[in-house]
Amino acid sequence: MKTFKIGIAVLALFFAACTTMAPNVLHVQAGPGGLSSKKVDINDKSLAKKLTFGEVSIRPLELGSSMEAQVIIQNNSRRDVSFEYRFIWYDSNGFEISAMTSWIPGHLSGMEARGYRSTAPGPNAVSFKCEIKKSHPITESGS
Amino acid sequence: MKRIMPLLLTGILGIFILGGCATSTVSYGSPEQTETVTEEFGSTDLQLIAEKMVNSLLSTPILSTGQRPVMYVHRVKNKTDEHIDTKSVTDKIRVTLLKSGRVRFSAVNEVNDEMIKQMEYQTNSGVVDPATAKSIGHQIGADYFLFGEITSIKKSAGRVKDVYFKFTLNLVNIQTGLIEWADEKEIRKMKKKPLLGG
Repeated sequence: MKTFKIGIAVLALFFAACTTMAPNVLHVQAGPGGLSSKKVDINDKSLAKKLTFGEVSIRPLELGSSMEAQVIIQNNSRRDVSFEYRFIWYDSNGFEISAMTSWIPGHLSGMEARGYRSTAPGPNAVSFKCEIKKSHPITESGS
Repeated sequence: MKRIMPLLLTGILGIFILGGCATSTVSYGSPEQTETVTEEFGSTDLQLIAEKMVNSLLSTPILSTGQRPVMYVHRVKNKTDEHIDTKSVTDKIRVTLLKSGRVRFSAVNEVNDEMIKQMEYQTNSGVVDPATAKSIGHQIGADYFLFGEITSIKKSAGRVKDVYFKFTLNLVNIQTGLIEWADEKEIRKMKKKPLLGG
């Protein structure tokens, strides 16, 4: 019985390694002076132990045409961490206005913190979310 | 026997489940997903380059004046030894910039012959209502054009292959001849063969 349980546990771990978790998300609302509010949704607790969202900075571009955002991502582990991230921008009606939503590979050395930037696609952008997830590319053996 | 049976049953169950993976299947994937199928230039590299260039261009003061400058893409030279469709990279940059509404693109360098042919047809054929015919002499002149190149450095030793790509893009002011903006994106990809097989 014990061996059977171990066998099932090994199978479960095998399939867990093949599945992907939902990303951890930082929601940011921009205001007239820059950052208005932010909220974090943790969907992958094991990733959250290694990577956390740090300071968020927003600066307007010239003539108020748009804005640029920077999110600090901190690696709290001593080992290098590979991950994927993306920014998605929204207008005041909650419509997604980003033209590019591809996942971008990222890499942080042990205990490193770095700023990741995105420029709002247009002057109608009022909020964005920054998503991070474990690196899960399509490889020569499939996804 | 009592100890072996549960392990055997687990193994057989696993084989049945994994056996479902023995046949080849085709399925749709997400175009947003990253890929590291080979160390050659791929879709994720294209997306990385476009993302960097667009973010950089959208931040430049030239596109922040509210006047929507007109530009076109001249050429991106492929100086690598791989086949890279550089037009697909610049198309992605152009589409994303157009969607931002902060820049206009001229089609003259791509379809100018067709436009002139169509205008001559509309003006001279006698078939088109003169009130709607488009005449020559009204094209908006471009203010800037983009040009660039992609290079690579490849090194391999033993089981490791390292490929470094560098994509450079420049924005030229047609009136003054000055390069008003430039940026580059560096990508490194590494392939490590396994000790056995591969």
